[in-house]
Amino acid sequence: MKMIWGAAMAAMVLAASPVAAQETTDAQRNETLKLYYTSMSCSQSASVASVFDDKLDAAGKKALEDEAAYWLVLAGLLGEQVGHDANKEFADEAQRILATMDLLGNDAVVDHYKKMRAPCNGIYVELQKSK
Amino acid sequence: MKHSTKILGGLALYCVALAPAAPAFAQDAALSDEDTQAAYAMTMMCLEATTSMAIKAQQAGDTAAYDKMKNDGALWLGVAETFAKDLGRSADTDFDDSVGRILAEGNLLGDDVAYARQKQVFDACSVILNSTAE
Repeated sequence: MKMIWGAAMAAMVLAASPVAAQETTDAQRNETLKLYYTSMSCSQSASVASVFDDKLDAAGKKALEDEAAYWLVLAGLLGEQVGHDANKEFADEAQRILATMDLLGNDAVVDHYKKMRAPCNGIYVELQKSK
Repeated sequence: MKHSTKILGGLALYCVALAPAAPAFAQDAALSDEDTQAAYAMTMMCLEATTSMAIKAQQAGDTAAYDKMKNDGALWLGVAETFAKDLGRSADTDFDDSVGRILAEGNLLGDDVAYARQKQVFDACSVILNSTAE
């Protein structure tokens, strides 16, 4: 499953090149949107972990920051195809994460994003291999 | 000040805004930009959680629960629009992203885990709604 996502995302990254830009069908747009939201969720999960996981050493923190940045760049490329501004929406989502922390407490939110680490990191590893 | 307090203030403002007799109070209690952004974020998150509950109720064929979620969702959206107006945004447009996020989280975490989290948020938001209604 992770490999399929990885391959699909790699294909989308290649297609995101302005040179390869072409009119997309509705189905392609929906698929791109799906991958866009996945990239955003994965970027957020890596960011939250890098900021709030106090058990991380410097190398672990750096690895998560790099992964978060990678996901955000990918989201940016995908977002361009479907009229979404990944950076702006990332900032909006950060506000929502803080609001959720107010409502549920930091631990509940950190734990939630921690659960996303495994699937996101699995896709990330596949994407790195496909480079 | 906790954001949940700010949202209560915002909701109170919203209710006051519906009552034309009290514009002075609404003006006095106006939120700062930062507070408005925080309140907007929380409102949208509550709307997102309510939408998630509505999707689940619809999938389960529970019409009564679905109608209740639709009403709650409309209330959150109405509140969000008042904040959005102050921020020069459109809650309706921002809301379009919520469904995409819900589906993406369901794909990553599995539907049950994603739903359990949205339910937690929804319950916390319901407390705010009920406090405001009292």
